Amino acid sequence: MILQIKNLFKWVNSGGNRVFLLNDIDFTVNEGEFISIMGPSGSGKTTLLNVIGMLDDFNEGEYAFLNEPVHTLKEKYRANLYKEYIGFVFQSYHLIDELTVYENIETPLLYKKHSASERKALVADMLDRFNIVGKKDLFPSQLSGGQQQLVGIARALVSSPKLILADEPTGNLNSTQGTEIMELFKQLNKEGVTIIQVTHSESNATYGSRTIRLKDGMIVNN
Amino acid sequence: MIRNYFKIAWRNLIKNKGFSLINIGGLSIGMSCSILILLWVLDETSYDKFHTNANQIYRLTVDAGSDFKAAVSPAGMASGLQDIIPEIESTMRLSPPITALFEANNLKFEEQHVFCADANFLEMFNFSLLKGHLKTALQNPNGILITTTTARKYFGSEDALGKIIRKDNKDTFTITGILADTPSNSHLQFDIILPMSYLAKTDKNLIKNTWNNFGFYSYIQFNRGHKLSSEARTNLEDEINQIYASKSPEFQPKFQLQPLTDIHLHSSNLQIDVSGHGNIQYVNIFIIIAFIILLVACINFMNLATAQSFRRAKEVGLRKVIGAKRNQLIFQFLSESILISFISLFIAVCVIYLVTPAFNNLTEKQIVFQLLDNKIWLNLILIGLITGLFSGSYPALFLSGFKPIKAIKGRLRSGHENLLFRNGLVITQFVVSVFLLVGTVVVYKQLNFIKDKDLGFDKSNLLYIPEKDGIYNKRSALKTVLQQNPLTSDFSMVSDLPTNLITGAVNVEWEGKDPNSKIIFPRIDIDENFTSVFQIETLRGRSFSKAFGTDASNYVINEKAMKVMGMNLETAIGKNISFQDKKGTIIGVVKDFNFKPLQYAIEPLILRFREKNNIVVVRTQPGKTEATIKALKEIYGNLNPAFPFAYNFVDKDLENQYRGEQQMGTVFNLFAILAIFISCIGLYGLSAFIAEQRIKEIGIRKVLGASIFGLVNMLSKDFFKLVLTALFIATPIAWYVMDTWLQDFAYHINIRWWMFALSGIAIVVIALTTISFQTIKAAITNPIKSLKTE
Ligand SMILES: Nc1ncnc2c1ncn2[C@@H]1O[C@H](COP(=O)(O)OP(=O)(O)OP(=O)(O)O)[C@@H](O)[C@H]1O
Ligand SMILES: [Mg+2]
Repeated sequence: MILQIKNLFKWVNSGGNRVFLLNDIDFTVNEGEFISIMGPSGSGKTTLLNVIGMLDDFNEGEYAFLNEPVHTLKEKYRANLYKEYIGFVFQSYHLIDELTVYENIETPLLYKKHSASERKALVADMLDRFNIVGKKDLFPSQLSGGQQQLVGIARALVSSPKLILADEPTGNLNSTQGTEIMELFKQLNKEGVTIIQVTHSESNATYGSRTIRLKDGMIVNN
Repeated sequence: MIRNYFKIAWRNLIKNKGFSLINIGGLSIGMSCSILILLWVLDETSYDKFHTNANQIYRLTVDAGSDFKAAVSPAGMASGLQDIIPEIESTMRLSPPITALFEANNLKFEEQHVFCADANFLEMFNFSLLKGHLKTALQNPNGILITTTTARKYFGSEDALGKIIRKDNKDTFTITGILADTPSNSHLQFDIILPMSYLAKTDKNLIKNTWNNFGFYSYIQFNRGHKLSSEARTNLEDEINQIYASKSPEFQPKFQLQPLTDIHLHSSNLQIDVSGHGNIQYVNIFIIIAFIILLVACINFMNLATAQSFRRAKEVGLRKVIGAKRNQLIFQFLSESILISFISLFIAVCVIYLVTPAFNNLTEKQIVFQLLDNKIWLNLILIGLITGLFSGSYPALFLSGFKPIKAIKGRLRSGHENLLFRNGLVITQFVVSVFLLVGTVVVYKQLNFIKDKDLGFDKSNLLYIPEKDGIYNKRSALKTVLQQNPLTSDFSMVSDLPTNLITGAVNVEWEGKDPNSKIIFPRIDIDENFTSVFQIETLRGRSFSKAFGTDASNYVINEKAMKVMGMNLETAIGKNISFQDKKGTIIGVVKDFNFKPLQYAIEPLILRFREKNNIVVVRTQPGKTEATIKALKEIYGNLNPAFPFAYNFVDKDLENQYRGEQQMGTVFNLFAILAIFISCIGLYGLSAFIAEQRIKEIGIRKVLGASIFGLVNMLSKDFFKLVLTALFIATPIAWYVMDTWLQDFAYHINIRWWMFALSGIAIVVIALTTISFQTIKAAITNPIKSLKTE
């Protein structure tokens, strides 16, 4: 079991009213699972993924990551978890604007203290795998949306995470590229990587072993 | 990793050129100022440390009571003490500086930096002797030491050693040693050293080794390895005082041992001292100013970095998501600020190379900026590191603390805490600016006050011819000739000028004197023209006059002396007093006039009648100064062709007395202006940033009909409040500090409210002008443009 969420609530106060972004969420993720989260726009998918990724906090409930209660985690420990376990793919391909493609992919390895030659090999492998070798010295602003998305995924995968959190990873890709990514995810999953992805596409969801459907911040079927 | 950091830092620098320019510009100016000041401080504190035994050498100074402290001691004292106190290894005496005419190789020059020194002068001090014998150079009364520059002046490229040089057209000396030029950081600045044995041929105090006439500088070197603790020093001083008391029961001043290395900076309260001393107070003030300037520059950096934090927020968030620890981010931001700091340092070093000559000119120093000097570059690197770490600290802590998702979504804009901190920084900068501005105003007013103060005599158009050895026997003739020429007939012969009087006696007796009182009475010998030439007001009685034959035993006193002696205008005239054991009658009281620098209050003064004195003072008629000088030159040339004619002006001399203060004033003003300038650069950047941030709001407001004035007002209001707050905080601090400085002067201006008002208005105007560049630009931008940018 990687993580377990029990009776989790997240709300914002708007004009004196509580607006629930996440409403009584309950679910468990075991090692080796490939989960798809689906739901209409605004249903809270990104919010949930951020909470799972410990990027955002919640108001009520319990959340244990590797049996550690998340709300007691120190910042340093969280940073270590990221380094060791988690690769995060954002819905809107967030890259560091001041770094080139190559450097963006290399940065997680810097924090993991890989040797220079190791880094070179790993980054080269990623560039190759995503077919962006020719773009390695460009800055994010010089790339198309789809290319940025690919770099974002490459950056998440380069440090071989045990858990991948992907928020619509194929949203900006053409269907061939999308399928390639999904195949890649499937391959990784087979190798033992746990994956949680948010997606709008039913066909992408079928790559997963399980689908969670959200509506108005609530899980409607599990 | 580090390379990665520097790469990003560099790209950020390039990307935000404007802000980088402001940051680096401000820091470079700040660093240049601070480093220059530190060079100056290093120089000031390095005085006399080049002597190998500097730590064991002390100068004997004396506190004669009633605020009269002097650097001199009696002729017989030093060697006398050595006979009794075993800890004393050696002693050496120096005469006060002598002005004399020297002639060699048919060249004549008047030398002003001449001392007589005991034979062990070169053994106690480490002035490097280039030629000659260290032990014997000053043994023979006919030997003489000169510096290389002096040697070149008389002998050109010839070897001067062994050559003959004549003093005052009569005494002949053989050059027994050539010294390197005096190091600029020596409290003794000399061109020529004569043997004390030469002076001992004529000086009664030296012949008899007297203990009662204070006329020599005595240096005492204690045993090797005997580094004096403050306790040991006090004990030795007590012992010296006891020894002196046993020799002179009637007058018991307190002696002090002044460390050699303290002489330059800690002698400002000593009278009858060699000139050219510094002042520890200025050193302290300048150290503080150096720090303040650097602080102001660092604040610019912090402020702009924090203000722009949202630009970096996304990067911070992303780095955290991919595994960066907080301290890694802190390290990254610190390495950025250190990069900027070292770029600025590099620029500052170039600037210093360029401006050192001008700075030396201003401060009359010979500072050489030597980058290769270990101490210097270590210090520079330290300055670079500290500046970088300090100015990067807050932005680093602040930026690295962002919560990742908020940072990525850009949901943090300027937090409240952040704003508070930035406002605090801006206020600090303006507190500094107001403080420096008030300081500038006060210093300026005080220096002007000194310059214009009514001294009690009319100092303008007073020309004087300094004491001349060769004229001594011809003074009667001189007097007659001067009287005959209408240009010079308004003249007076005096023993001393009322500029920096160094005479003083304690043995003054009057009726009803408290036997324990040890008040010092300075004295001037004057002729019958003194009060009319100097235009000093006589309050009661009369001044000396030819019309009354017997003035030789009469005295004129000043008001202060009258009060000290417990008399008043009604009773003073006709009272008998005795001065230096000579009885006489008070015939007149003159209004108080200053005869010492204005740091000192007016002391009781005795004016004694002597028909002939050594210094001739002529009051020139307006517009006829040149003609008068010509006439005087002729008169002196006829009487004494052997001596070059030299003259000075009393008001110039007076001005020179405050040269140190004037210089410090100029430097202070300069750095104050630069500090304010640096603050303004920062403010400019900050306002540019805020205008940029609110450009959309401004656009919308404009579309809704806001006027340009209204918009500028809206944008400036916040800054205005900050400046006002700063004014409130700075006022009491400035008042206190400047008042403390003024207390050093017996005569000083009072701090007035308008000085603060003036500074306040100036700061507000400067600040608003700085801001207005940006606010007006923002307010007149076409709203369509700014709204389209989203
Ligand atoms: N900080 C916030 N304050 C208020 N409301 C928020 C905040 N963050 C998200 N929301 C709201 O929460 C809801 C869920 O947002 P979320 O981004 O999770 O949707 P989503 O399911 O990912 O939608 P999409 O498919 O369009 O990406 C939305 O209605 C959004 O307006
Ligand atoms: Mg979403």
